[in-house]
Amino acid sequence: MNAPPPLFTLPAPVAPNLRHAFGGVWRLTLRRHLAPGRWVMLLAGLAALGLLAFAASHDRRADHYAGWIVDFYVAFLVPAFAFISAAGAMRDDLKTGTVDYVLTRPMPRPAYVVARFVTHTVFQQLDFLLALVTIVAVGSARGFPGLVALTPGFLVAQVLLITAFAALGFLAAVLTSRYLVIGIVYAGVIEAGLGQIPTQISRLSLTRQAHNLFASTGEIVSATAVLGTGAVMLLFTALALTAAATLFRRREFGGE
Amino acid sequence: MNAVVQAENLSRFYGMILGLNNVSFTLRPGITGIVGPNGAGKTTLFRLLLGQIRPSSGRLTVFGEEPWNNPSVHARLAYCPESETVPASLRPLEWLVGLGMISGLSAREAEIRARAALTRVKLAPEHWSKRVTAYSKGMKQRVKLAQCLLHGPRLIILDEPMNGLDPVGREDIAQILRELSATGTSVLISSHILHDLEALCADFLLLRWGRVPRSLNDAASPAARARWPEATTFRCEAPDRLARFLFDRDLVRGCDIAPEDGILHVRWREPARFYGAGNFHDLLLESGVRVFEVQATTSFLEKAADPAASS
Repeated sequence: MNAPPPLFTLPAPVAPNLRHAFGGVWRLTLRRHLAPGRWVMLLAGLAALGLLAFAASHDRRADHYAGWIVDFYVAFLVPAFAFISAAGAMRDDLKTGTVDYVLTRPMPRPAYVVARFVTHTVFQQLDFLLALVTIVAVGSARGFPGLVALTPGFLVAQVLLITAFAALGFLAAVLTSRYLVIGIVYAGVIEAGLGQIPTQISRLSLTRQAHNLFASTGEIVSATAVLGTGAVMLLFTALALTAAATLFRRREFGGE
Repeated sequence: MNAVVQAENLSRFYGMILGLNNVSFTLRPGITGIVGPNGAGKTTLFRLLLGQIRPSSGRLTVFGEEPWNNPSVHARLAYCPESETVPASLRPLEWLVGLGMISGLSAREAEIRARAALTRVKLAPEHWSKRVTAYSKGMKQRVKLAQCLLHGPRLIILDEPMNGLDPVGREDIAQILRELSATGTSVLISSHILHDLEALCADFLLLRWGRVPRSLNDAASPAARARWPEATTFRCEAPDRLARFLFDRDLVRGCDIAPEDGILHVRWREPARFYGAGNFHDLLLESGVRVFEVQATTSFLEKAADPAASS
């Protein structure tokens, strides 16, 4: 007589493990970033940025080009894209795909927010690294040899701004699906409003802080300024992320 | 036997909208079917069990603990949602390994378990290299079930897992659930395919308008399920001859015939007189009519879920 087939048995239960969970979030984020459609978008964005840089360097003046990088790229484009991208990523995580499959697993929600922030920000930094390389390449092609020496300063500012504005994006996305409204109000009141007042209150503006790192030639004014601005931005990041994680922990997922 | 889930006066409202209204029930180990029309409160109950929403009042425990924001409960739960949303650009192994790691597995162990789970749900390895979004509905259902099997949960919650599956696929899933139940994992399953639920579940929880109506749940109790069906449908060669045969023996109080389909639907005077003596095979043979299929027209679950169906 044939023996009955063995029953399928579930593997042993697993104890939650934060390190492995972080690795899982990292893997899923990495796969999303490696998707072909995303590469097409990135390449299209870089091409558009290259064209903008080409137009901005038409007068072939290195100081004008450095000023454009600081005023437009560092102080506007990087924060805006970092905010929108991070908020979009967080909003995606509030949809059923993530809520049903990821947030039903034994990873504390605040830990998930931190893991998602770290992984998203790392990939954002890599994307903007490519953007900065594009801008510097266009400048070099235009014959601005000193531009390469300024690049580390631009890179430091962009790393700090991406980190801070990604945290702000996460917070705005946890607060509301209309995170763009929050972004516009923040940009209008803090960055364009208080940031333009020529007193100490302008230090509330992160883009103003980044802007003040640079002399008119595009050089970093001092290492102390970098440390001070870096500390402020990291503090801002920590506060925004803590608020986002706290709100995320209290949030109910009724389906979106 | 320890309760897997216990609800006491559990309510959940969304503002003025009713989700669940003062329900109390206990789910025991095994396979439990949850039945109710759309809007009955099934999804609300699932979200409460998964700790995604909080009760407005009352108390809910899963394995003796409250599930809201409780990783200890999540470690013992798995959820297969009804939604067909699956992550874009991911292949099944990539997705399952990521989810397994979030559950606490190492990358290596997650991959071993992911392969075993995909094999168990009979997703052929040649499909593993395709993106999940490119899968058919039935294949997605299999992957969705596979992601439930990674971390050894003690309770699996499945929302319409049979949707989009052909009969063979439904039986495959049912077999997996039976095996899980036999090895100590409890299953809570909702489905609109009531005959499948009847064949699969040991227990039922019937919901309607956010409540657990006692009369309906009594109608689906094991005692009620032991009764004979009050109406039966035959698919046969000569339905009119079979009807006459059954009328002559005073077994039926009414019937409907669809001769073009070979269908005879009868309502029994006393169902036990046909089914109960254990000789209905002999009766059908005696009729001389070739019978291809005999089916209870209205299942006990249909009656319980929709009393109008039985009238």
